[in-house]
Order: sequence, then structure tokens, then C-alpha cells
Amino acid sequence: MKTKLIFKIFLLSIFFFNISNYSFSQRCDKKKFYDKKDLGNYDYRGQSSYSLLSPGDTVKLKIVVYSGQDYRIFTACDPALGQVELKLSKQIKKRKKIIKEITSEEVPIYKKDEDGELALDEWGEYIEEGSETIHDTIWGTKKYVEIKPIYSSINSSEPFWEQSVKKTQVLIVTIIVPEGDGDIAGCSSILIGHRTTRKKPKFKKM
Amino acid sequence: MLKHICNMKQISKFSKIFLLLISLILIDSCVSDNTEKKKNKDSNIYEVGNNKKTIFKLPSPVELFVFLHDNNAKFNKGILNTPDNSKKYFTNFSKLINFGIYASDLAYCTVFGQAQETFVYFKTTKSIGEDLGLNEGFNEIIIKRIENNQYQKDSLYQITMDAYWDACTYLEDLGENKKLSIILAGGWIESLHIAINSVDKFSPENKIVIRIAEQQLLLENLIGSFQTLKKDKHTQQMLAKLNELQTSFDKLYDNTDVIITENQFIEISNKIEKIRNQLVK
Repeated sequence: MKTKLIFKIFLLSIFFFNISNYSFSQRCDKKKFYDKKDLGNYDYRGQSSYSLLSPGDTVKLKIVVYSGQDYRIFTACDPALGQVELKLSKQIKKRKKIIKEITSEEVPIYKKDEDGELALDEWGEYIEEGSETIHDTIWGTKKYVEIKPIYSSINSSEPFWEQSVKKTQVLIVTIIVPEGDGDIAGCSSILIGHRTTRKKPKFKKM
Repeated sequence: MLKHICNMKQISKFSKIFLLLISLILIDSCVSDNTEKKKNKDSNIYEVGNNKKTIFKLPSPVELFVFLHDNNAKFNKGILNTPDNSKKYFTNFSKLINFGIYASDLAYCTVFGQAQETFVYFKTTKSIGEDLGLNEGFNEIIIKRIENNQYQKDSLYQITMDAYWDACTYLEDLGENKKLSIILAGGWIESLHIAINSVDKFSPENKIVIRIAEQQLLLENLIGSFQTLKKDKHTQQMLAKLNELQTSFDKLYDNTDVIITENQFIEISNKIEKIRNQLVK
């Protein structure tokens, strides 16, 4: 009887354990720390990111923005994390021509006749009369990355970055959680909204 | 009576034990909630250790298909991975990669307003998703929603976008970065395969050709996400394929007059077709 009761308690405990675990676990994509009006007329499905952060954390997101699209990028975090900074930079990959190697080679100098043509000896071979050093430049390319800051939520009057993108490029989105109590963890969302740039009407205004 | 009192006492004793256990469990779950946060955070750091918490993202294939549609590309059912192939995928890797491929095909059908094909590809994607235990986004409720909205293009678009997005965010939330990267690779390769096959005639000014050339940035991000993963046979093989493809895309940096030449386009197309064929077979 007693064993049965203990077994029942054990089963109930497992049941409650699972329920409580389920209810306590959190999905950051379901937490919304923003007003609906902040979203504007943009689609946020695609490159938005959600994560659990603590004070002092920094998250870097590399995204690709297409030309011909408008973007609105902002962050919305658990207020417990304090004033989280959003920074945006352009990543421009370039290649420049560089000197890879300069080679030196000793080459013979051949005798020339009165007409400026190479003179031949009795065996029909060119006649060597010395040598000279010839330098050859071998060119190569070097990839390098240029990072150009374009936005910081701390220095901006707008809480979001909003632009029509003219050239497809990589953007680096960084969020910096201020230092604080390291035991705190809160959800953060980096919201990347996009929409097709509306074409201007072709007709002239009356 | 005494027996009854004893029983009452016993019950009350067990109730106390029971209440104590519940309290302990609740306390434990609160504590384990914090540990879980730490655990998730740590696993996140671990997964992205090489890049100091850098997360690499790619625009959804849907954005590419909307671009193709807006630039008058024609729908071509023949270039998609046939749903019959779905029975051929046995390994987890092939299921994940083809989940991405079918999800991309589904998005293509939706954007081009192909209601019947949308339904077929949704069911195929859902079936592979079920095998992978990935029901988020692809479930019976959504199937019903698709059935109900079969001829409303905008609704179908929203439903399938939601399904793909829900599945991806679910995996990201679970910290399943490896699965997510493989799915994204499948989806990206398929979208590029569709875009390449949508080009009627090569011209460096052709908008679709230019968008294909721009995919080098997405490839770089995709490679970045694979480099952050724990090494295993499949991810290493996939990374090798992507790196090989990048050598062709890298040549575009040397161009001065045009974004892409015809030879470069052919080279990239051939490599994409080769990789894609290996993945769907």
C-alpha cells in the first residue's frame, strides 16, 4: 500500500516536473519587447535573430541586404538588460593589386651585326658578349575588408536604422549589453525588417 | 475510528510529503531555469567560439524568388526536386539538406502562385520535417490553412513564409545551429539552382544574372556559419563543396568592367548544378 502511494507520488512528481520545466523554459522569439507600431510596414521574417543575453554580452550578426529593398533594423530587449546599444557597420570586401614577388634573372647579351640583327658564329649560334640582370615583377591580389560604421543607437535620434539599399552588401549588426549583474539573463531581439522599395511613379506630377 | 484517524494521519503525512516534493520540484525548476539559461548561453558561445559570438544570417530564398517573379522569370516545375525523391533520403544529413531544398521549392511555387504545387510541396516538406522531429511550422493546422486558402496567392505566401520562418527560429532557439546551417545550405543551393535556370540568355546587365553574382555575399555568410560548427564528416564535406564554389565566386572581385562575365557565370552554374545533383540524388 505504502509502496503504491510512494510510486504514485513519484509519478506525479515527474508529471509536475515536466509541466513546470515546460512553463519555465522560454523562447526568445515569442517575447516581444516592442510596440507593434515600431514594426512599420516591413516583413521581419528572414534574418531577425533572437537570443538570451546577460550584462556585458556582445552579439554580432552578419546579414546581407539586397539592393532594391528598404530595411528597418532595430533591437528590442528585456528591460532588465539595461540600455542595449545597437551598432551597424558596412562590410566592404575589396581586392587590391599587390607586388607578390620581384624576380631577378641573369640573361646573356648577344652580339649584334652592323644592321642591328643578332650576329651568328661559324656554327650558326648567337655570340655571347656578356650578361645583364633582368627584374620581373609578379603581381598578385590581396583581399581586405573595410568596415565602415553607419549607425549607433546611442548617437542617433531615431531608435532604428532605416534605408533604401542601392547596392547588395553585408552589414554587421552589433548589440552591446551594458555591464551589470552577470546572473541576470534576458531575451533580446535583433529585428531585420525588409520590403521591396516602391518604384516612383513614371508620370510627371501635374 | 482509531484506524480511520490513523489513515487520516497517514494521508496528511503523505500530503505533507507530497506538498514538500512539489515545492522542491518548483524550486528546482526555477533553479534549473537559470541553469538552462546558462547552459544555452554556454552552448551558444561554444557553437560560435571561432567567431566570438558572430551569427551569420542569409536572406530567405523567398526574397530571391520574389525578385525573379518581379523580373518576369517563368515558372518551371521541371527544375524542382521531385516529391518522389523524398522517399530516398535515409540519413539525417540528406533529410536535413533536402528539407531545405523542398522548403525552397515550396517557396518558389508559392511566390509564383502555383496553388496545386504549393500544396504538394508543403506536404513533402512536412513529411521530411516529421521524420526529423521538426513539426514547428509544418503541421496539420497549416495544411488546413493551405487547403482553405488554396487559390489566394497572398494568403498562401504568408502561410508558407510563416511555416519556414517558424521552423528556422525554433531550431535557432533550441541552439540546433548545425541542423539550421544544413537546412539553410540546402535552401540556398536550391534557390540559386532555380535562379540560374531562370536566365533565358546571359547578359552582364541582366538583373537576374547580377543577383546571381551577388549571391557570393550569401555564400560567404553560409561558409561563416559552417566554420562555427563542431566538425563532423558531413559538415566538413559540405564546407569543402562551398569553399570550392567560393573559388569561382572570388574571381568576380577581379572584374572591373562587369560584375560577372559569361565564362564566370557558366563556371558558377556548373558547380551549383554539380553540388545540387549530388544532394538530391
